[in-house]
Amino acid sequence: MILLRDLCFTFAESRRTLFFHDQFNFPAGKLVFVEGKNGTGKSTLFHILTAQPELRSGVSGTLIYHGINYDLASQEYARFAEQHIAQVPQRFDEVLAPHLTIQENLACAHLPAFPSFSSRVVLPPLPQLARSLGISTEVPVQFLSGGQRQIVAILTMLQTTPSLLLLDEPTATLDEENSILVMECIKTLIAATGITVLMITHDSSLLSYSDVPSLVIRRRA
Amino acid sequence: MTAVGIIVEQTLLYVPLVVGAYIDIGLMKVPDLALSSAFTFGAITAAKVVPYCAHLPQPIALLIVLIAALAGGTFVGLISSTLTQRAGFSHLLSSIITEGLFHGINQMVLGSPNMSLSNYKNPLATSLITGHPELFLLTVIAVACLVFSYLLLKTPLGYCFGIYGTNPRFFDHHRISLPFVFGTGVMLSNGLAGLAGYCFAQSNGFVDISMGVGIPLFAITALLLGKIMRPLPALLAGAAGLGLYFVLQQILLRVGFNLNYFMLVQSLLILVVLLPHQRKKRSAHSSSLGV
Repeated sequence: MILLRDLCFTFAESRRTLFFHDQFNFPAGKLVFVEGKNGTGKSTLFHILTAQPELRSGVSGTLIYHGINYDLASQEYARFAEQHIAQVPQRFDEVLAPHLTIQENLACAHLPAFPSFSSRVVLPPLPQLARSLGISTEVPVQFLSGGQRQIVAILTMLQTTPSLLLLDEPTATLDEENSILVMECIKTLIAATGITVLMITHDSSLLSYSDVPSLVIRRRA
Repeated sequence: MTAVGIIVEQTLLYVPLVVGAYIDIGLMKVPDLALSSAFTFGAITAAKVVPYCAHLPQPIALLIVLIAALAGGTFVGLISSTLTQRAGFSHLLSSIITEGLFHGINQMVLGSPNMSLSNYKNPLATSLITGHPELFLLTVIAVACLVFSYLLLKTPLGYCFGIYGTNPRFFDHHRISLPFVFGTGVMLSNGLAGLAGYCFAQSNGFVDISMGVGIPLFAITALLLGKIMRPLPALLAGAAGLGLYFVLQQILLRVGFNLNYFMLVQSLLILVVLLPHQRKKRSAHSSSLGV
Protein backbone atom coordinates (compact mmCIF):
# COMPACT_ATOMS: atom_id res chain seq x y z
CA MET A 1 0.00 0.00 0.00
CA ILE A 2 1.23 3.48 -0.91
CA LEU A 3 -0.35 6.34 1.06
CA LEU A 4 -0.35 10.07 0.35
CA ARG A 5 -1.09 12.11 3.45
CA ASP A 6 -1.95 15.82 3.77
CA LEU A 7 -1.14 16.57 0.15
CA CYS A 8 -1.20 20.31 -0.50
CA PHE A 9 -0.20 21.96 -3.74
CA THR A 10 -0.53 25.54 -5.00
CA PHE A 11 0.90 26.89 -8.25
CA ALA A 12 3.48 29.53 -7.33
CA GLU A 13 2.59 31.99 -10.11
CA SER A 14 -1.21 31.81 -10.34
CA ARG A 15 -1.70 31.03 -6.60
CA ARG A 16 -4.21 28.40 -7.72
CA THR A 17 -4.64 25.54 -5.24
CA LEU A 18 -5.13 22.04 -6.65
CA PHE A 19 -4.73 19.94 -3.50
CA PHE A 20 -5.40 20.91 0.11
CA HIS A 21 -4.76 18.34 2.85
CA ASP A 22 -5.92 15.55 0.54
CA GLN A 23 -5.43 11.85 1.40
CA PHE A 24 -4.96 9.15 -1.26
CA ASN A 25 -4.46 5.37 -0.88
CA PHE A 26 -3.07 3.23 -3.65
CA PRO A 27 -3.53 -0.51 -2.88
CA ALA A 28 -0.53 -2.68 -3.79
CA GLY A 29 -0.75 -4.79 -6.91
CA LYS A 30 -3.88 -3.04 -8.18
CA LEU A 31 -4.87 -0.87 -11.11
CA VAL A 32 -6.26 2.44 -9.84
CA PHE A 33 -7.92 4.73 -12.36
CA VAL A 34 -7.53 8.48 -11.87
CA GLU A 35 -10.53 10.39 -13.16
CA GLY A 36 -11.48 14.04 -13.25
CA LYS A 37 -12.20 16.88 -15.62
CA ASN A 38 -9.43 18.74 -17.45
CA GLY A 39 -7.49 21.08 -15.16
CA THR A 40 -8.39 19.36 -11.91
CA GLY A 41 -4.78 18.24 -11.30
CA LYS A 42 -4.52 14.65 -12.54
CA SER A 43 -1.29 15.22 -14.44
CA THR A 44 -0.02 17.51 -11.67
CA LEU A 45 -0.52 14.65 -9.20
CA PHE A 46 1.73 12.53 -11.44
CA HIS A 47 4.30 15.33 -11.58
CA ILE A 48 4.27 15.56 -7.78
CA LEU A 49 4.67 11.79 -7.46
CA THR A 50 7.64 11.79 -9.87
CA ALA A 51 9.18 14.70 -7.89
CA GLN A 52 9.45 17.15 -10.79
CA PRO A 53 11.82 19.86 -9.53
CA GLU A 54 9.73 22.78 -10.86
CA LEU A 55 6.78 21.77 -8.63
CA ARG A 56 8.69 21.01 -5.46
CA SER A 57 8.48 24.54 -4.02
CA GLY A 58 4.66 24.53 -3.99
CA VAL A 59 4.12 21.05 -2.57
CA SER A 60 3.79 19.68 0.95
CA GLY A 61 2.65 16.36 2.37
CA THR A 62 3.95 12.88 3.05
CA LEU A 63 4.19 9.69 1.04
CA ILE A 64 4.22 6.53 3.13
CA TYR A 65 5.73 3.42 1.57
CA HIS A 66 6.44 0.22 3.53
CA GLY A 67 5.98 2.24 6.75
CA ILE A 68 8.61 4.84 5.84
CA ASN A 69 7.52 8.48 5.63
CA TYR A 70 8.91 10.68 2.85
CA ASP A 71 8.42 14.44 2.83
CA LEU A 72 7.25 15.15 -0.74
CA ALA A 73 9.31 18.35 -0.95
CA SER A 74 12.54 16.68 0.16
CA GLN A 75 15.57 15.54 -1.79
CA GLU A 76 15.20 12.17 -0.09
CA TYR A 77 11.77 11.77 -1.73
CA ALA A 78 13.23 12.75 -5.13
CA ARG A 79 15.76 9.90 -4.75
CA PHE A 80 12.95 7.52 -3.69
CA ALA A 81 10.83 8.54 -6.69
CA GLU A 82 13.77 8.01 -9.04
CA GLN A 83 14.12 4.41 -7.83
CA HIS A 84 10.52 3.38 -7.22
CA ILE A 85 8.23 5.38 -9.51
CA ALA A 86 8.13 5.23 -13.31
CA GLN A 87 5.87 7.12 -15.68
CA VAL A 88 4.84 6.56 -19.26
CA PRO A 89 3.78 9.98 -20.56
CA GLN A 90 0.74 10.58 -22.75
CA ARG A 91 3.09 10.93 -25.73
CA PHE A 92 4.48 7.46 -25.10
CA ASP A 93 6.79 7.59 -28.14
CA GLU A 94 8.96 9.99 -26.15
CA VAL A 95 10.31 7.10 -24.05
CA LEU A 96 11.25 5.04 -27.12
CA ALA A 97 14.16 5.13 -29.54
CA PRO A 98 12.18 4.67 -32.76
CA HIS A 99 15.06 3.32 -34.87
CA LEU A 100 15.96 0.57 -32.39
CA THR A 101 14.35 -2.83 -31.88
CA ILE A 102 12.34 -3.71 -28.76
CA GLN A 103 15.34 -5.45 -27.14
CA GLU A 104 17.64 -2.53 -27.86
CA ASN A 105 15.04 -0.18 -26.35
CA LEU A 106 14.84 -2.34 -23.23
CA ALA A 107 18.65 -2.31 -23.03
CA CYS A 108 18.75 1.49 -23.31
CA ALA A 109 16.41 1.79 -20.32
CA HIS A 110 19.30 0.46 -18.20
CA LEU A 111 21.79 3.09 -19.34
CA PRO A 112 23.37 5.25 -16.62
CA ALA A 113 23.20 9.06 -16.54
CA PHE A 114 26.65 9.21 -18.17
CA PRO A 115 26.74 6.38 -20.72
CA SER A 116 30.08 4.64 -21.07
CA PHE A 117 32.11 4.39 -24.28
CA SER A 118 34.19 1.42 -23.19
CA SER A 119 31.62 -1.37 -22.95
CA ARG A 120 29.12 -2.87 -25.33
CA VAL A 121 25.34 -2.61 -24.97
CA VAL A 122 24.02 -5.87 -23.51
CA LEU A 123 20.61 -6.89 -24.80
CA PRO A 124 18.28 -8.20 -22.05
CA PRO A 125 16.10 -11.28 -22.69
CA LEU A 126 12.79 -10.51 -24.37
CA PRO A 127 9.93 -10.38 -21.83
CA GLN A 128 7.47 -13.27 -22.10
CA LEU A 129 4.64 -10.76 -22.58
CA ALA A 130 6.18 -9.29 -25.75
CA ARG A 131 6.67 -12.79 -27.09
CA SER A 132 3.11 -13.87 -26.32
CA LEU A 133 1.69 -10.74 -27.95
CA GLY A 134 3.67 -11.51 -31.08
CA ILE A 135 5.49 -8.18 -31.10
CA SER A 136 8.14 -8.35 -33.82
CA THR A 137 11.64 -8.32 -32.38
CA GLU A 138 13.43 -7.83 -35.66
CA VAL A 139 12.10 -4.45 -36.79
CA PRO A 140 12.64 -0.99 -35.28
CA VAL A 141 9.79 -0.07 -32.93
CA GLN A 142 8.70 2.76 -35.26
CA PHE A 143 7.20 0.08 -37.51
CA LEU A 144 5.00 -1.42 -34.76
CA SER A 145 1.34 -0.47 -34.27
CA GLY A 146 0.38 2.25 -31.77
CA GLY A 147 -0.82 -0.33 -29.24
CA GLN A 148 2.35 -2.39 -29.58
CA ARG A 149 4.50 0.73 -29.16
CA GLN A 150 2.55 1.66 -26.02
CA ILE A 151 3.25 -1.82 -24.63
CA VAL A 152 6.95 -1.52 -25.50
CA ALA A 153 6.96 1.90 -23.77
CA ILE A 154 5.46 0.33 -20.63
CA LEU A 155 7.92 -2.59 -20.73
CA THR A 156 10.77 -0.12 -21.21
CA MET A 157 9.80 1.92 -18.15
CA LEU A 158 9.42 -1.30 -16.12
CA GLN A 159 13.07 -2.21 -16.74
CA THR A 160 14.09 -0.32 -13.59
CA THR A 161 11.60 -2.49 -11.60
CA PRO A 162 9.57 0.35 -10.03
CA SER A 163 6.92 -0.20 -7.33
CA LEU A 164 4.48 2.31 -8.81
CA LEU A 165 3.78 2.82 -12.52
CA LEU A 166 2.01 5.97 -13.69
CA LEU A 167 0.20 5.87 -17.02
CA ASP A 168 -1.15 9.11 -18.47
CA GLU A 169 -4.08 8.21 -20.75
CA PRO A 170 -2.27 5.30 -22.43
CA THR A 171 -5.22 4.51 -24.69
CA ALA A 172 -6.12 8.10 -25.66
CA THR A 173 -4.64 7.87 -29.15
CA LEU A 174 -5.45 4.22 -29.81
CA ASP A 175 -8.37 2.53 -31.57
CA GLU A 176 -10.58 0.05 -29.70
CA GLU A 177 -8.60 -3.04 -30.74
CA ASN A 178 -5.29 -1.52 -29.61
CA SER A 179 -6.87 -0.16 -26.39
CA ILE A 180 -7.99 -3.69 -25.45
CA LEU A 181 -4.49 -5.00 -26.26
CA VAL A 182 -2.90 -2.41 -23.95
CA MET A 183 -5.39 -2.97 -21.09
CA GLU A 184 -4.94 -6.76 -21.25
CA CYS A 185 -1.18 -6.21 -21.16
CA ILE A 186 -1.47 -3.99 -18.06
CA LYS A 187 -3.61 -6.64 -16.34
CA THR A 188 -1.08 -9.35 -17.17
CA LEU A 189 1.81 -7.20 -15.91
CA ILE A 190 0.09 -6.48 -12.59
CA ALA A 191 -0.64 -10.20 -12.09
CA ALA A 192 2.95 -11.13 -12.96
CA THR A 193 4.85 -8.45 -11.04
CA GLY A 194 2.50 -7.23 -8.29
CA ILE A 195 3.16 -3.64 -9.33
CA THR A 196 0.72 -0.84 -8.45
CA VAL A 197 -0.51 1.08 -11.50
CA LEU A 198 -2.12 4.52 -11.48
CA MET A 199 -3.79 5.32 -14.77
CA ILE A 200 -5.40 8.58 -15.86
CA THR A 201 -8.35 8.02 -18.16
CA HIS A 202 -11.38 9.80 -19.58
CA ASP A 203 -12.73 6.56 -21.06
CA SER A 204 -15.38 5.09 -18.75
CA SER A 205 -15.51 1.85 -20.78
CA LEU A 206 -12.11 0.92 -19.31
CA LEU A 207 -13.22 1.11 -15.67
CA SER A 208 -14.22 -2.57 -15.65
CA TYR A 209 -10.52 -3.48 -15.80
CA SER A 210 -10.10 -2.45 -12.15
CA ASP A 211 -11.67 -3.95 -9.02
CA VAL A 212 -10.85 -0.99 -6.77
CA PRO A 213 -12.64 2.38 -6.72
CA SER A 214 -11.30 5.10 -9.00
CA LEU A 215 -9.55 8.09 -7.56
CA VAL A 216 -11.75 11.01 -8.61
CA ILE A 217 -10.14 14.45 -8.49
CA ARG A 218 -12.58 17.35 -8.38
CA ARG A 219 -12.03 21.00 -9.13
CA ARG A 220 -11.39 22.95 -5.95
CA ALA A 221 -13.70 25.95 -5.46
CA MET B 1 50.62 11.55 -59.33
CA THR B 2 47.99 9.55 -61.29
CA ALA B 3 44.27 10.29 -61.01
CA VAL B 4 43.79 7.11 -58.94
CA GLY B 5 46.60 8.17 -56.62
CA ILE B 6 44.99 11.59 -56.16
CA ILE B 7 41.59 10.03 -55.43
CA VAL B 8 43.07 7.62 -52.87
CA GLU B 9 45.13 10.32 -51.16
CA GLN B 10 42.27 12.84 -50.98
CA THR B 11 39.87 10.19 -49.71
CA LEU B 12 42.27 9.16 -46.94
CA LEU B 13 42.86 12.78 -45.92
CA TYR B 14 39.19 13.43 -45.35
CA VAL B 15 38.09 10.11 -43.78
CA PRO B 16 38.37 11.50 -40.20
CA LEU B 17 36.20 14.49 -41.22
CA VAL B 18 33.51 12.32 -42.77
CA VAL B 19 33.50 9.98 -39.76
CA GLY B 20 33.05 13.04 -37.51
CA ALA B 21 30.34 14.47 -39.75
CA TYR B 22 28.62 11.07 -39.75
CA ILE B 23 28.42 11.20 -35.95
CA ASP B 24 27.05 14.71 -35.50
CA ILE B 25 25.33 15.55 -38.80
CA GLY B 26 24.35 12.03 -39.89
CA LEU B 27 23.51 10.34 -36.58
CA MET B 28 22.75 13.18 -34.18
CA LYS B 29 21.19 15.36 -36.91
CA VAL B 30 22.95 18.44 -35.52
CA PRO B 31 23.41 21.30 -38.04
CA ASP B 32 27.08 21.67 -37.16
CA LEU B 33 28.52 24.52 -39.22
CA ALA B 34 31.37 24.76 -36.70
CA LEU B 35 32.96 21.72 -38.40
CA SER B 36 34.77 24.21 -40.65
CA SER B 37 36.22 26.05 -37.62
CA ALA B 38 37.22 22.71 -36.08
CA PHE B 39 38.89 21.67 -39.35
CA THR B 40 40.93 24.89 -39.44
CA PHE B 41 41.65 25.22 -35.73
CA GLY B 42 42.75 21.56 -35.49
CA ALA B 43 45.15 22.17 -38.37
CA ILE B 44 46.46 25.42 -36.83
CA THR B 45 46.96 23.90 -33.37
CA ALA B 46 48.91 20.97 -34.82
CA ALA B 47 50.87 23.24 -37.17
CA LYS B 48 51.96 25.37 -34.21
CA VAL B 49 53.23 22.21 -32.48
CA VAL B 50 55.09 20.80 -35.51
CA PRO B 51 58.22 23.06 -35.16
CA TYR B 52 58.65 22.02 -31.52
CA CYS B 53 58.60 18.33 -32.49
CA ALA B 54 61.43 18.60 -35.02
CA HIS B 55 64.02 17.10 -32.64
CA LEU B 56 61.77 14.31 -31.32
CA PRO B 57 61.70 10.71 -32.62
CA GLN B 58 59.07 10.41 -35.36
CA PRO B 59 56.49 8.24 -33.51
CA ILE B 60 56.47 10.63 -30.54
CA ALA B 61 56.30 13.71 -32.79
CA LEU B 62 53.43 12.11 -34.70
CA LEU B 63 51.55 11.28 -31.50
CA ILE B 64 51.95 14.81 -30.11
CA VAL B 65 50.88 16.45 -33.37
CA LEU B 66 47.81 14.22 -33.77
CA ILE B 67 46.78 14.86 -30.17
CA ALA B 68 47.16 18.60 -30.77
CA ALA B 69 44.97 18.40 -33.90
CA LEU B 70 42.30 16.39 -32.05
CA ALA B 71 42.45 18.76 -29.07
CA GLY B 72 42.11 21.83 -31.31
CA GLY B 73 39.00 20.44 -33.01
CA THR B 74 37.56 19.21 -29.70
CA PHE B 75 37.98 22.69 -28.22
CA VAL B 76 35.82 24.15 -31.00
CA GLY B 77 33.19 21.49 -30.25
CA LEU B 78 33.38 22.32 -26.55
CA ILE B 79 32.64 25.99 -27.26
CA SER B 80 29.73 25.40 -29.65
CA SER B 81 28.13 22.65 -27.53
CA THR B 82 28.49 24.75 -24.36
CA LEU B 83 26.77 27.68 -26.08
CA THR B 84 23.92 25.35 -27.06
CA GLN B 85 23.59 23.65 -23.69
CA ARG B 86 24.32 26.49 -21.27
CA ALA B 87 23.14 29.59 -23.14
CA GLY B 88 20.15 27.77 -24.64
CA PHE B 89 20.81 28.82 -28.27
CA SER B 90 19.86 26.55 -31.14
CA HIS B 91 22.94 24.70 -32.29
CA LEU B 92 22.74 26.42 -35.66
CA LEU B 93 23.13 29.81 -33.94
CA SER B 94 25.80 28.44 -31.59
CA SER B 95 27.85 27.14 -34.49
CA ILE B 96 27.49 30.45 -36.38
CA ILE B 97 28.72 32.32 -33.27
CA THR B 98 31.55 29.78 -32.90
CA GLU B 99 32.48 30.34 -36.53
CA GLY B 100 32.79 34.07 -35.86
CA LEU B 101 34.78 33.56 -32.68
CA PHE B 102 37.24 31.19 -34.28
CA HIS B 103 37.69 33.33 -37.37
CA GLY B 104 39.36 35.82 -35.02
CA ILE B 105 41.06 33.23 -32.80
CA ASN B 106 42.57 31.44 -35.82
CA GLN B 107 44.11 34.70 -37.04
CA MET B 108 45.43 35.49 -33.58
CA VAL B 109 46.97 32.03 -33.07
CA LEU B 110 48.42 31.77 -36.57
CA GLY B 111 49.65 35.38 -36.57
CA SER B 112 49.35 35.58 -40.38
CA PRO B 113 46.82 34.34 -42.98
CA ASN B 114 48.88 31.21 -43.61
CA MET B 115 51.94 29.28 -42.45
CA SER B 116 54.20 26.97 -44.41
CA LEU B 117 54.96 23.52 -42.99
CA SER B 118 57.50 22.57 -45.65
CA ASN B 119 60.42 23.93 -43.59
CA TYR B 120 59.82 21.45 -40.78
CA LYS B 121 60.18 17.68 -40.43
CA ASN B 122 56.96 16.02 -41.65
CA PRO B 123 55.59 13.78 -38.84
CA LEU B 124 53.37 11.93 -41.35
CA ALA B 125 56.27 10.93 -43.62
CA THR B 126 57.59 7.35 -43.77
CA SER B 127 59.58 5.52 -46.41
CA LEU B 128 57.28 2.48 -46.37
CA ILE B 129 55.48 3.39 -49.61
CA THR B 130 57.85 4.65 -52.27
CA GLY B 131 56.77 7.74 -54.13
CA HIS B 132 54.33 8.90 -51.48
CA PRO B 133 55.85 9.30 -48.01
CA GLU B 134 52.53 10.13 -46.28
CA LEU B 135 50.30 7.45 -47.77
CA PHE B 136 51.06 4.74 -45.20
CA LEU B 137 50.29 6.84 -42.11
CA LEU B 138 47.27 8.46 -43.76
CA THR B 139 45.91 4.94 -44.36
CA VAL B 140 46.63 3.97 -40.74
CA ILE B 141 44.87 7.12 -39.44
CA ALA B 142 41.84 6.59 -41.72
CA VAL B 143 41.49 2.91 -40.78
CA ALA B 144 41.96 3.73 -37.06
CA CYS B 145 39.20 6.38 -37.25
CA LEU B 146 36.82 3.95 -38.96
CA VAL B 147 37.54 1.10 -36.52
CA PHE B 148 37.37 3.37 -33.46
CA SER B 149 34.04 4.86 -34.56
CA TYR B 150 32.61 1.45 -35.50
CA LEU B 151 33.42 0.15 -32.00
CA LEU B 152 32.21 3.38 -30.36
CA LEU B 153 28.81 3.11 -32.02
CA LYS B 154 28.32 -0.32 -30.37
CA THR B 155 28.77 1.20 -26.90
CA PRO B 156 26.04 2.82 -24.75
CA LEU B 157 27.34 6.28 -25.69
CA GLY B 158 27.27 5.36 -29.38
CA TYR B 159 23.66 4.21 -29.05
CA CYS B 160 22.84 7.54 -27.40
CA PHE B 161 24.24 9.48 -30.37
CA GLY B 162 21.73 7.68 -32.59
CA ILE B 163 18.89 8.22 -30.14
CA TYR B 164 19.70 11.96 -29.97
CA GLY B 165 19.02 12.15 -33.70
CA THR B 166 15.65 10.42 -33.54
CA ASN B 167 14.21 11.39 -30.14
CA PRO B 168 16.13 13.82 -27.90
CA ARG B 169 13.27 13.72 -25.32
CA PHE B 170 14.24 10.09 -24.61
CA PHE B 171 17.05 11.18 -22.28
CA ASP B 172 14.83 13.13 -19.84
CA HIS B 173 12.53 10.14 -19.39
CA HIS B 174 15.40 7.75 -18.77
CA ARG B 175 17.41 10.18 -16.61
CA ILE B 176 20.35 10.18 -19.00
CA SER B 177 22.39 13.40 -19.13
CA LEU B 178 21.48 15.16 -22.38
CA PRO B 179 24.33 17.72 -22.10
CA PHE B 180 26.82 14.85 -21.70
CA VAL B 181 25.55 12.97 -24.77
CA PHE B 182 25.29 16.13 -26.89
CA GLY B 183 28.61 17.58 -25.72
CA THR B 184 30.63 14.39 -26.23
CA GLY B 185 29.08 13.80 -29.66
CA VAL B 186 29.82 17.30 -30.93
CA MET B 187 33.31 17.41 -29.38
CA LEU B 188 34.22 14.00 -30.79
CA SER B 189 33.11 14.87 -34.30
CA ASN B 190 34.82 18.26 -34.16
CA GLY B 191 37.97 16.58 -32.86
CA LEU B 192 37.96 14.26 -35.87
CA ALA B 193 37.42 17.28 -38.15
CA GLY B 194 40.49 18.88 -36.53
CA LEU B 195 42.49 15.72 -37.24
CA ALA B 196 41.42 15.82 -40.90
CA GLY B 197 42.35 19.51 -41.00
CA TYR B 198 45.89 18.69 -39.92
CA CYS B 199 46.22 15.79 -42.39
CA PHE B 200 45.06 18.12 -45.17
CA ALA B 201 47.41 20.92 -44.12
CA GLN B 202 50.43 18.63 -43.73
CA SER B 203 49.76 16.98 -47.08
CA ASN B 204 49.54 20.38 -48.80
CA GLY B 205 52.54 21.74 -46.91
CA PHE B 206 50.82 24.77 -45.44
CA VAL B 207 47.97 25.84 -43.18
CA ASP B 208 45.61 28.63 -44.18
CA ILE B 209 42.88 30.38 -42.18
CA SER B 210 40.35 29.97 -45.02
CA MET B 211 40.97 26.22 -45.51
CA GLY B 212 37.72 25.32 -43.69
CA VAL B 213 35.40 27.17 -46.08
CA GLY B 214 32.69 24.85 -47.42
CA ILE B 215 33.73 21.92 -45.21
CA PRO B 216 30.20 21.17 -43.82
CA LEU B 217 28.75 21.20 -47.36
CA PHE B 218 31.55 18.92 -48.55
CA ALA B 219 30.97 16.49 -45.65
CA ILE B 220 27.20 16.40 -46.28
CA THR B 221 27.80 15.71 -49.99
CA ALA B 222 30.14 12.82 -49.16
CA LEU B 223 27.62 11.37 -46.67
CA LEU B 224 24.78 11.64 -49.21
CA LEU B 225 26.89 10.02 -51.93
CA GLY B 226 27.62 7.31 -49.36
CA LYS B 227 23.91 6.58 -49.12
CA ILE B 228 24.08 5.38 -52.74
CA MET B 229 26.63 2.81 -51.54
CA ARG B 230 24.20 1.11 -49.16
CA PRO B 231 23.96 -1.74 -48.12
CA LEU B 232 27.55 -1.02 -47.10
CA PRO B 233 27.73 -0.39 -43.32
CA ALA B 234 26.97 3.30 -42.72
CA LEU B 235 30.50 4.32 -41.73
CA LEU B 236 32.12 2.53 -44.66
CA ALA B 237 29.46 3.99 -46.94
CA GLY B 238 30.48 7.47 -45.78
CA ALA B 239 34.12 6.73 -46.66
CA ALA B 240 33.04 5.22 -49.98
CA GLY B 241 30.92 8.34 -50.64
CA LEU B 242 34.05 10.36 -50.11
CA GLY B 243 35.87 8.27 -52.73
CA LEU B 244 32.98 8.71 -55.16
CA TYR B 245 33.09 12.48 -54.56
CA PHE B 246 36.72 12.65 -55.67
CA VAL B 247 36.05 10.33 -58.62
CA LEU B 248 33.34 12.78 -59.76
CA GLN B 249 35.73 15.66 -59.21
CA GLN B 250 38.40 14.00 -61.37
CA ILE B 251 35.88 13.24 -64.12
CA LEU B 252 34.71 16.87 -64.17
CA LEU B 253 38.31 18.05 -64.20
CA ARG B 254 39.09 15.83 -67.16
CA VAL B 255 36.15 17.14 -69.20
CA GLY B 256 37.45 20.66 -68.64
CA PHE B 257 35.09 21.76 -65.84
CA ASN B 258 36.28 24.75 -63.83
CA LEU B 259 36.64 23.39 -60.28
CA ASN B 260 35.98 26.87 -58.87
CA TYR B 261 32.33 26.06 -59.53
CA PHE B 262 32.48 22.67 -57.80
CA MET B 263 30.69 23.96 -54.72
CA LEU B 264 27.76 24.78 -57.00
CA VAL B 265 27.80 21.15 -58.19
CA GLN B 266 27.82 19.95 -54.55
CA SER B 267 24.78 22.04 -53.69
CA LEU B 268 22.92 20.88 -56.81
CA LEU B 269 23.80 17.29 -55.97
CA ILE B 270 22.39 17.70 -52.44
CA LEU B 271 19.24 19.27 -53.89
CA VAL B 272 18.75 16.42 -56.35
CA VAL B 273 19.17 13.77 -53.63
CA LEU B 274 17.12 15.50 -50.94
CA LEU B 275 14.23 17.09 -52.87
CA PRO B 276 12.31 13.85 -53.52
CA HIS B 277 12.63 12.91 -49.81
CA GLN B 278 11.45 16.35 -48.76
CA ARG B 279 8.45 16.21 -51.11
CA LYS B 280 7.51 12.77 -49.77
CA LYS B 281 7.75 14.05 -46.19
CA ARG B 282 5.62 17.11 -47.02
CA SER B 283 2.89 15.07 -48.70
CA ALA B 284 2.86 12.63 -45.75
CA HIS B 285 2.43 15.61 -43.41
CA SER B 286 -0.41 17.01 -45.53
CA SER B 287 -2.26 13.68 -45.52
CA SER B 288 -1.81 13.35 -41.77
CA LEU B 289 -3.51 16.74 -41.44
CA GLY B 290 -6.39 15.49 -43.56
CA VAL B 291 -5.56 17.98 -46.34
